[in-house]
Amino acid sequence: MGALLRFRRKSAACILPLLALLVAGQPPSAQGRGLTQAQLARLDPKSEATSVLLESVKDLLKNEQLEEAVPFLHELLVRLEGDAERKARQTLAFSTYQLGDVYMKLGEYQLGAKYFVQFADAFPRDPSYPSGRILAAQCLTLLQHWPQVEGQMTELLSDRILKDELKVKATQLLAESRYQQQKWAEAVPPLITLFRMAKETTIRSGMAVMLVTCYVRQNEFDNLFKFLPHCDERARHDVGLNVALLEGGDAHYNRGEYQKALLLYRLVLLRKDLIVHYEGRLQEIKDTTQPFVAGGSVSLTDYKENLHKQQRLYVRLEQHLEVVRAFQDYDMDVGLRIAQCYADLERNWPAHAIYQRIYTENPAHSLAEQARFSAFSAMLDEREWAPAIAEGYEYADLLPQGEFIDDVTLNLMRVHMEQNKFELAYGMGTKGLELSPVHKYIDQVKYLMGYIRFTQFDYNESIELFSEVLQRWPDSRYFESAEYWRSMTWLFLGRFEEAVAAFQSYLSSTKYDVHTYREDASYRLGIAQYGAEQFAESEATFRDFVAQSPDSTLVSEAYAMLGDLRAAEGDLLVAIDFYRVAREKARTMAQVNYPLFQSAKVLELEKKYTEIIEMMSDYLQAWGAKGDLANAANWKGKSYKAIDEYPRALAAYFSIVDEFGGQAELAGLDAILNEIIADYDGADWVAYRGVITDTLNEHLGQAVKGHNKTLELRYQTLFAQLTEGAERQVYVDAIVQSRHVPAAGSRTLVLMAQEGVQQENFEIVHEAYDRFMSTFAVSANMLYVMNANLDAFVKEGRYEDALALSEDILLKFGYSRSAGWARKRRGDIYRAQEKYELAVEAYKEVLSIREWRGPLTPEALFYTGLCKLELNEIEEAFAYFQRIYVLYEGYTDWAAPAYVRSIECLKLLGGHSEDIIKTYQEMLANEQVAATPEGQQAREWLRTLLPEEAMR
Amino acid sequence: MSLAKSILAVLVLSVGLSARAQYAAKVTLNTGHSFVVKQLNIQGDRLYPESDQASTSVASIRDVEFRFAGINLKLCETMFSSGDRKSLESLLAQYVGPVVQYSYLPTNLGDYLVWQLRAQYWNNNRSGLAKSIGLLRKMDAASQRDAANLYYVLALMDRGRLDDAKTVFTMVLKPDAVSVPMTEYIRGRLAVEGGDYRQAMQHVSKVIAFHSRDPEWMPPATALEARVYQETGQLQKAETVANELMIAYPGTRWSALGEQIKKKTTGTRGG
Repeated sequence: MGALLRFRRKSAACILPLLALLVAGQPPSAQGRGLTQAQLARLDPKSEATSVLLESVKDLLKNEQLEEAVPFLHELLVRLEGDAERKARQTLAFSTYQLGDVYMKLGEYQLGAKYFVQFADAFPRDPSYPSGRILAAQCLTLLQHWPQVEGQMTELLSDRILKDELKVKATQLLAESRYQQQKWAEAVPPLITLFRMAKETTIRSGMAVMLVTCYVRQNEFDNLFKFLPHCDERARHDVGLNVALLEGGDAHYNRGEYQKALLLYRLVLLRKDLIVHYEGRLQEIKDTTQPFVAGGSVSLTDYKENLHKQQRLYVRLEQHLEVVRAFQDYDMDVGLRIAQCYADLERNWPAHAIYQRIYTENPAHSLAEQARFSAFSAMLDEREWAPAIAEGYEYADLLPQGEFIDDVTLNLMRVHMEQNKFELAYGMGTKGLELSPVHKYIDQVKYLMGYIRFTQFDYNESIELFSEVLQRWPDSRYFESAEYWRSMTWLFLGRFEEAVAAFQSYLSSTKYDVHTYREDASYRLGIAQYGAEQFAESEATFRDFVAQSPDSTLVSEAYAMLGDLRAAEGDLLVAIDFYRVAREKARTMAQVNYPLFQSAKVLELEKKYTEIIEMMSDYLQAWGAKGDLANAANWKGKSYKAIDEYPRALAAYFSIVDEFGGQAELAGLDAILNEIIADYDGADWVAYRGVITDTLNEHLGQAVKGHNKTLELRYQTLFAQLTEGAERQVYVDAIVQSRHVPAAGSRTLVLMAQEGVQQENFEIVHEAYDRFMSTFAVSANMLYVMNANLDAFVKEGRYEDALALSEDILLKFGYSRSAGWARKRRGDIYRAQEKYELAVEAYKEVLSIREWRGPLTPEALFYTGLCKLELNEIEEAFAYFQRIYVLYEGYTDWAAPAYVRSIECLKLLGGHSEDIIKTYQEMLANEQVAATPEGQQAREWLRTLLPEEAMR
Repeated sequence: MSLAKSILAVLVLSVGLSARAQYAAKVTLNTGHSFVVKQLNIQGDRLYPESDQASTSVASIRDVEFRFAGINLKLCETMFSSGDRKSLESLLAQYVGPVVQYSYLPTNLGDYLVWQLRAQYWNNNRSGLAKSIGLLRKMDAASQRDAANLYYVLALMDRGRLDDAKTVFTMVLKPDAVSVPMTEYIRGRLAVEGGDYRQAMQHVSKVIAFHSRDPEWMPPATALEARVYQETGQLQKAETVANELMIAYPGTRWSALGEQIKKKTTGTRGG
């Protein structure tokens, strides 16, 4: 019966030789030499004696004449049925078992199963009973009749005295039958038993696969993760087990259970690991297969049997290896699934790392593109803009015609916008449309480009782009936004009639179920009407707005507009009332401030100065440092001055500075101190100069006494601005010290930076600059401190830093008058570096900006001339110098040296003796130029050239 | 697991009963000649063979290879990976402990000591860890010295001595040669301790993405990921990762840590 254990599941080819062994295991008496066709022809089963039938059967079975044995066995069953005699029962048992066996060998599994079951049911005490049940289950397994297999094995396993080998086989069949019926929970106990009992690797691997599947299907992650570490190497590397994990992962993923899917995918071993494992095992089999040694401890039969077993295993492993090798994209596929799970769980960093590795290691693979895009998306989701931009640009560069190029360019646009880099965003939009003329998000790209242009004040292009969206894509989800922002653009362009029409059209459109921008558009309509001087309509719109949208964030501004409209009509009391409501409804300081100061203007018209003073006092009390201190102080001071109470105005200024001046980061206080300087310098309050300095001195003393360093520095700075010479220097020396930088207010920092340049104490200049830039994002003093820092860089010879700062100044201050100085400095830097062509370009920029014309012009012309001289372009140099004394003769400081240089040019050109004399004469004809050192020198030279005339 | 533990317990017991002579040592001399002894008998600077042969100068020994009756490197790896780290430490103490005194010779003890070091670190055996680090730092093999220093870095970080940890880390010649995931974990952890969470995620995600089946470094890397999420206020993600610790490492310190994190995050989020 031991031979039964060698049966292999599902393989009839393997079963048959083993059945032969089973037969070989019968007692010798049951064996014969077979029957010839002639002998068979003479035998009639119906008429022969039972003993003859039995002998014939044995001969036929011995001779593998299976089909011929069937009628004899059936006849035996008919004759012996119901016979209670012991021998007859034994023969009946034998015949029934053999009939099942014959049918099984003939591939008639249904009949095989029938007779094995019949045998086992009828002869439970027969020694062949366990194998009968197992063979029945084998037949049923081949027929995939799993419930019956389960029934047979449950019956057999209830026998507690079953031998271990049979128990393993029966447990295996029971486990498989339950597994096949998807009875996951019921399959687990026999699988665990088997995993512990079975010694054969193949059985253990098979059981591990089934067990893993059962755990996965049951969501038994706890048991799964307990089981896997104890799963031996061979089972762990089984292809089936890994496929089961992969399929389990897929099932969970498809249900949206990303975490479970991830945990399963991560357990799947990679192709390279599997290949190494299978190759190792194949080599191991080769190495352990030795030639047969006669006379050794192993018999030839055992040797052959073992060899056969090894060969089968080798073939099976080779097949697995082939499967693994054939799946070229296996690792990448698993990697992508894992990465996708991480991405779905918003664990973007690991997802990104995997995607990046996939496209780096397989750049030419079709999945690399998907991986690149996913890497980009992961960083977008993580809001990690720098790596996202790097990924996106790399994609666009490498795969300009890629499948995801539209998504990449659109998202890059959005990232740049998120970072307020609108020009880059616009550029990416343009590039996206170039790369993909039929961009799938073209409406969105155009809309965003329009919006970008709007933010850059390029309203005409903005209008064009929004109009294109409205005309070409009426069904776009950006249509409404484009319509609203086009209306806004008209408004910002100051084309109020168009804006009114556009907002009215938007608000009355039936295209939208809900108007997303209704509230905002309603308010803007009022503004547009106001701009179009449709005051009555504007007032009606604002009145309608405050009634319809009482909770809007814009309601305060609407009330303020109503105040303005009423004030313009001279209806001052109503106007003041609207301003009051506007302040009550305010949600921001700007909404508080505007109506407050508008009220002050109205009250000023009515000369109600006391009311203004009270209103400002209330405001300062209510808002303190959050409020607009400078404006409030200004209004208080102005009102006191209007009622001729200057000391009270001064007291109001100092009171505010005393209260808030200790906060270094408050920039508004400098405006109050500037007001005091203006009063001191102005003609109106000359009589109070002494009062001002006395009061200042008194407050400085209090600040020192109160150890309020910031306030002390503020007052010292004020003194430095009011005084001169040695008196001023005392204050400057007290202020300009590194240790004071952290406590200094904005005006003090400017003083430190400017004085630092004078003293060539560049360290303090940079410290003051750094402190200023990090503390005061918006300040009127910023340009001064930047210019001082620029000066320091130039003096230190840090030209690259200076050039960068000059660019920064241009970016921050555009073409404002003061920025021109910094740009002129840029030319000086290039000149100092002997980069004369660049210097000329820089000076040309200064000369070309209308806002910068004035004192800078002759200076820029002069230095351009010097550069031209260095470049040996003498005639051009002469022309620049000449322009100075012809067009800007009033600027003596530049006209005088310009004369000198132009004479130098004439000398270099040669043959211009008369022109030189004429130029000297012209120079000396200008009295102011003649009085300069250059003029005096010119007189000497002219005397040399024309002594007589000169002497006259 | 319980079966494996009981087997080990029996092994440990049997070793305990006959602790002596549980190894063989193959001694190879500079001449290339080699012989096996059941017990090393070194007195002064001479090695005395078991037979009546003449003694040998210790200086002439090229190599000593120990083979232990109850443990080998493969078993160390299996036990460590399956989490039987207490038993592994006991076995190493029983078998390798008695011959550690010979670690000054050119032996194969270094590999065993590295396993001992790893087991001691995770078993939180501070004094044992300190001894192992001391022994390994005297080894000729740079990789073993590096391994000792890396675990020293971890121990220092555990004690909050971040600056010292950074200093020791700079002493490691080839950290990646010891273990890429360990090195990435350490870099990530140093970044977390320094408050640079972005940098931390870049390192820790490499462990999580590419070494997910590493039984030693994947769990702490996952825990570190959760910590980054906690400290950056990404509580939903912290909870997801905490769940992973609970599911993937049942019955271990990591699942307990996962529970703690989950409790904290759900508590912070208001359940």
